[in-house]
Amino acid sequence: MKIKIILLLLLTYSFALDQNFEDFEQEYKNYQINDPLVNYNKAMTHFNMTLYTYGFRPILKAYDQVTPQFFRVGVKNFFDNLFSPMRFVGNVLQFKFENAGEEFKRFIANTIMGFGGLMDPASKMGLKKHPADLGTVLGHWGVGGGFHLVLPVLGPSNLRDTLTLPAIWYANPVSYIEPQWVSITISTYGFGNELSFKLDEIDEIYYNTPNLYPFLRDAYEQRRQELSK
Amino acid sequence: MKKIILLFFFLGNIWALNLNDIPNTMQNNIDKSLNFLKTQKDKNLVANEIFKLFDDIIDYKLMAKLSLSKNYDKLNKQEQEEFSKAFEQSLKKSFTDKLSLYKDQILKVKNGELKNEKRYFLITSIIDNGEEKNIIFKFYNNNNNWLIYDVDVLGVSIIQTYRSQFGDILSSEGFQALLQKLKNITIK
Repeated sequence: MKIKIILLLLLTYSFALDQNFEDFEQEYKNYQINDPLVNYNKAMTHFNMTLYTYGFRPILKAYDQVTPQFFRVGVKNFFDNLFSPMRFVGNVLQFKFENAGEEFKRFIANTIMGFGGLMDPASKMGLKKHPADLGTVLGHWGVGGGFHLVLPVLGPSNLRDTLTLPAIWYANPVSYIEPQWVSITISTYGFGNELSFKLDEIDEIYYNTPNLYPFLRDAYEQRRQELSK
Repeated sequence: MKKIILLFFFLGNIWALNLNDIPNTMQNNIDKSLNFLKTQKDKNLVANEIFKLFDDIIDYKLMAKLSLSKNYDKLNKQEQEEFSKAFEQSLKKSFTDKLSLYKDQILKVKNGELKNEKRYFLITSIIDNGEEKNIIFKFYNNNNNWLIYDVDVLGVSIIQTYRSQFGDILSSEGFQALLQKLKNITIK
């Protein structure tokens, strides 16, 4: 009799454990990424990583060493401020008016008190930045990302976000500079300068992740979902 | 015998983290951790102090199991134990390495959300480059001892990214390769 009771208790206990694990499984199961181009994406991730390791990384490390910190920060702030109007519009289009208001105040504060955006007094005043672009606007109103797509140089993206890239390009005042090669050079410099602040983070991810491609893909897609909420 | 069992239950309850205590306990632990980071330069020492604070609140074994999903049950007992150990080690190594990326930001507990009777999400935030970034600690109810089973950083679930990474390695290279990759993660 005793043995039967113990067996029954053990069974109930193991059933409860299974049930708990099933609950957790359900939590994660709802998340699926559409990735029909997985082989191409893996190859492109490998290409980007090689390009970073032998191209961008040594160049940017050298740039980091020879360029004074205040100069790099100034350039970073300047480019960041140029994108502020796009973040403002992006927040308005998602009906996030409070965020849009804060972004507007940031732009005014940094443009006027920050010498045309070279400095970032807005952050010191506690005004927060609210990332938004056409991709997150579409995401917010229910447009899915489509399939995942790794772009050369730019890295992880998806169909929706890739299609919005031209709009993002033209939302940036730098793109209107003539001739076009000057505008491309300035944008590339801004991109490289921004990257120069993230070398340690990129190193940590690139060289210390057990399986890089699925990590980058999931991190990108989940982050975009979060920004689209 | 009965007394010993009772004593175990009693001790178990003393160390248990109750639902209402989560925000305060976490903020205290976070503050202590940030203080270690400010005062101590050796990141391995800092990491060890931080692990001492959080080890009792984090369910590494469950995290390891969740990161393998259904594949966990396909392993034998010895493999499961080997994997759990390697997973915890690699998680800790990777955390220790990331400590050097810390740049004086302050992590603050914002609020908690009781999702249902078994899940509680503690939302904390950090201001980085003018942007508020959320880090969410996900707790589950383990007989009234609430334990962390996942952490969302900027909306990215650590466990979810591990599930995809590990599932991909298991299907193409097998269990031993996965174990090796986990062990290969080194502190620079």
